[in-house]
Amino acid sequence: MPRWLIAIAMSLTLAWVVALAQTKGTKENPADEQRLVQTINAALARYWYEHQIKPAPPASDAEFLRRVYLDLTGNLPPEEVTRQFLADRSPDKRRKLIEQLLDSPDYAKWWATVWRIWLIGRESRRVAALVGIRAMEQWLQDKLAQNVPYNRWVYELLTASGRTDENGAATFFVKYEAKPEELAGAVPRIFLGTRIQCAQCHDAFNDPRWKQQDFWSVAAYFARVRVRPVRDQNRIVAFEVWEAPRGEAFMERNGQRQMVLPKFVLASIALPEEPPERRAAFAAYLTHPQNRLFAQAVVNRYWAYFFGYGLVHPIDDFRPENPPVVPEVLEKLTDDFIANGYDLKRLIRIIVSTRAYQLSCQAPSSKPNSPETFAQAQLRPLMPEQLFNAFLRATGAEEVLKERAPRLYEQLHQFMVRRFVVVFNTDEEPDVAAFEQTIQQALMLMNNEQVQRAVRLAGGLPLFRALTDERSDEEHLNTLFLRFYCRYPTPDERRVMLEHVRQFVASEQRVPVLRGRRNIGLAMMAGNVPLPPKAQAFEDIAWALLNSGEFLFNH
Amino acid sequence: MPLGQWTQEYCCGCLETWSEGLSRRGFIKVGLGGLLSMLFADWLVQQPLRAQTNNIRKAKSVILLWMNGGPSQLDTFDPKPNSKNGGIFKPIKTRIPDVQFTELLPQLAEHADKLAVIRSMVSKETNHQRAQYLLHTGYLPQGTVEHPSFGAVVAKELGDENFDLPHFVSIRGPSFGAGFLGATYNPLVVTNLSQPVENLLPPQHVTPDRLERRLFLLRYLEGKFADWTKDENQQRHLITYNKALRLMRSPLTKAFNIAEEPESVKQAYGDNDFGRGCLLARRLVEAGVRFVEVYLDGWDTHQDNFTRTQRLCSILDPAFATLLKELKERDLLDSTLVVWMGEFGRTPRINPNEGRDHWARGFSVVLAGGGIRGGQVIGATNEDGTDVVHRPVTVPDLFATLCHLLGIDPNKRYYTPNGRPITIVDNGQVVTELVG
Repeated sequence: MPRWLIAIAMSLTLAWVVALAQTKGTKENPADEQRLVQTINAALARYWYEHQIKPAPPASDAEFLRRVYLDLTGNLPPEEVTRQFLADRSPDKRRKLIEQLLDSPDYAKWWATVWRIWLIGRESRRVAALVGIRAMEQWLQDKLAQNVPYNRWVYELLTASGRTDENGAATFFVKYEAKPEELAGAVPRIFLGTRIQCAQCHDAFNDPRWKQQDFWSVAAYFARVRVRPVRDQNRIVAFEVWEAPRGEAFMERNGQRQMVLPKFVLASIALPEEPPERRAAFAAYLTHPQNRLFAQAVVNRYWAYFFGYGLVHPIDDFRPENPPVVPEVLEKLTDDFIANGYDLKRLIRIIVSTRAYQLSCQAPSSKPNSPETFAQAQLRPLMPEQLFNAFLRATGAEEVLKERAPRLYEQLHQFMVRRFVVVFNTDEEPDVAAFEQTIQQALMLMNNEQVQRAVRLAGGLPLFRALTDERSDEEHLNTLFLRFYCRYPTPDERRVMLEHVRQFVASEQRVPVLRGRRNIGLAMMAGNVPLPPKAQAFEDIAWALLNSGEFLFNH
Repeated sequence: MPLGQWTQEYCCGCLETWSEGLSRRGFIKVGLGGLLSMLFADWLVQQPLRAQTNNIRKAKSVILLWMNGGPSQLDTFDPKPNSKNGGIFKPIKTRIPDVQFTELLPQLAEHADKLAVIRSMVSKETNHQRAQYLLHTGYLPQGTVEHPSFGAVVAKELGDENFDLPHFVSIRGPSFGAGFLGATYNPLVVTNLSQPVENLLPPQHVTPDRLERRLFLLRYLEGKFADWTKDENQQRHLITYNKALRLMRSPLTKAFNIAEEPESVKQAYGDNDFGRGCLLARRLVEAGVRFVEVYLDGWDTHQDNFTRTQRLCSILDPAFATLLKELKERDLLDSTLVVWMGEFGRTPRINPNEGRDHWARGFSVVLAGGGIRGGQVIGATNEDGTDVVHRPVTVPDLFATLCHLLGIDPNKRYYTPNGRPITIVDNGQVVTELVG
């Protein structure tokens, strides 16, 4: 075994052994996690005090439940879960919920989607990237479900070879067409929160640390990666990624083309010996425990995900001139992350346990607290995928179709995901401060035929569930609020909504006859069954809930 | 670094210091009460169908005829009858003395007095996707920045905030989005010409009365939540819903209904989606939309270039010519800039498959209206079409010229959400001969 390989293997193994040992310990004894949460709470409290910021009140159970469900699983809680959680009187129910969600398959599935978006984006114009998205998510899901240390799976990702349908990680290089200059821009941005792109053509002006030579020294690590389509009778079925034995990076300077050799300029780290394979060498430097920025960048990325705003903001702008808002929080989280073996679940557990994460979105005074204060939960637009999941679950379309017509469900799913992703597509790096909704999105939610069918269903839910109108209108109203908002209606809301129902029923004369309950949900969605006036009135309420900010934002 | 060295390489805007903490928050001036009372209420105000014309600059709108795939310049606007590269089509006279098009464009030849033909476009990019990005945004893809499509720039710079329709419409193709300018300026994409705006009206079972009831409930819920959070994103959400509702109720949406045009007009444009798209573009511009892009796909003629180009020109020629004729008749040509282009041209050399391949070292772009001096040719390629021999025009030059005609400052700086400054045009020079 070559010396370099032993050296790498030893340094990585050591980190993992330490990590694994500690990870195992934390689950049984979360005391040190609790201490860190306290430290972060104290640091933020100091920050608020010094800046005379009055934090929002604590989030109610309902707010917390909705938020943590959306953040950890990309979906709303089922109605029954919400009822149980709100009724639960045990003091540590939030902690238990966090634990339970992180252990569920929904966590790995959702975060695989999130990471896929971070790594290769949503819908690329480059057809090449489309082939293999699914494989990449599967790969990520495996890593996240097993809670493989972050440094380890990033190493595997950046050294991935083979066919994308066999090794989903390889899709990363397909997305960037294996172009050294694209990868040299993307990889430091994603994994180090650092942009060196400008230095591709000249010494960077924005950040004098980066010379053109530096950019190309990074690019040189990717000069040998190759990608080619794998065809089956002219149809591209996958891509194959491999490392060629030769290939160099060339920069153009003053009209001259000059070759640049690889050099890890992004941090000062000494490896006893570099692996000969270029990407392996790069990945070894990048994920080295001494490369603190590697850990800081992902800690900050997660923080920004949960708060809509990074401690360092924007998340890809780590520079000496752009320090973190509350440095202590970033540093303590980073220390803990490195010391505990790059454990992403632990990082999430800590962040969502902080007081700041568990604040309400209610403004504490006449003026709201802005996102960089972390003193009030921000309205974060649901990601298209979250919105789609939430829509299916809240309306009941998910349970009706999955149960009674799985094929129809699959078709609707395919169609709607595409529509939602196209219509609701946002930046690859969501940023609450830059939220823009489009007219097309609003039109779709208000008027689209498919959406309306699901809304019909929500209005008729008690019919589908074979409940009769004897069950009180109040209970039906509760159902809708619990499904869309994860809370019970306030007395005032109850008054307004039930008044609407009363008036609607009074103004409608015809009462259609319903026969055969079995497939009534499907029939309602198809529009074959005319809803009784009362169900129509509730359909209107479901429509209003669906289109309202309280549903469309994560808050 | 001396000045001269970087002007050539000034490519990413990072020369400027990055403005810190720039954010789009804080631009909302309408109070919450105003928004809520606006919500669903102001459709009663009737909008005039024709936009007002009170601006000094000539061009107010753009119609981009986008030839997806890269059209052959030699078989259209830059014939080479005396070369082995010339192909099979005969040249014909046009309204411009001594200037010929091929026989595939008989109607356009009759309108050549309105056209300015640039025969000397040069670029280095011959990859479809990258070149499409370049010719839509004026920039090459840079990985970390998503540049806005020019349509989004025009919508932002010239669009009236209080206009009912979106200011950027793309017909039969996706165009490119608004990038860092934000979703507000994304194009409304029309894919189906018989139902141009998707989801414009509620389904039939939702009667106007029911919609009113629904909106009453929604307004109630929105008001409570806005009051509770006081968050600006909630207000943005309300602004969008107001706009969407305004669109639903706007008489201007009639502009999308090409069915009400006389049969003779529809026939003149051509009974195909591109013809209908050009007709729709005219109606939208008439209603006050700032940028309409119409796609004609299929120009990537690596095989059978001649048959395919002939077929495409039989669609292009009547539609483009009728568009010019109608704009002129309706007194809209001076205020409407029409641009014909694709992502690049095609090789002068004819390949063994009777095809032509990708070519960016000398291709044609055609402009008309909007203050363009018509009846002229800019630049030239040599006998065989293999090189530009006179007046090369770069993509930034073209974009700077378009900006100039529209009264937009090409050097105006935008800031990406991360605070990075980027000028509208990357260092282009206005082609002054083009301007009338």
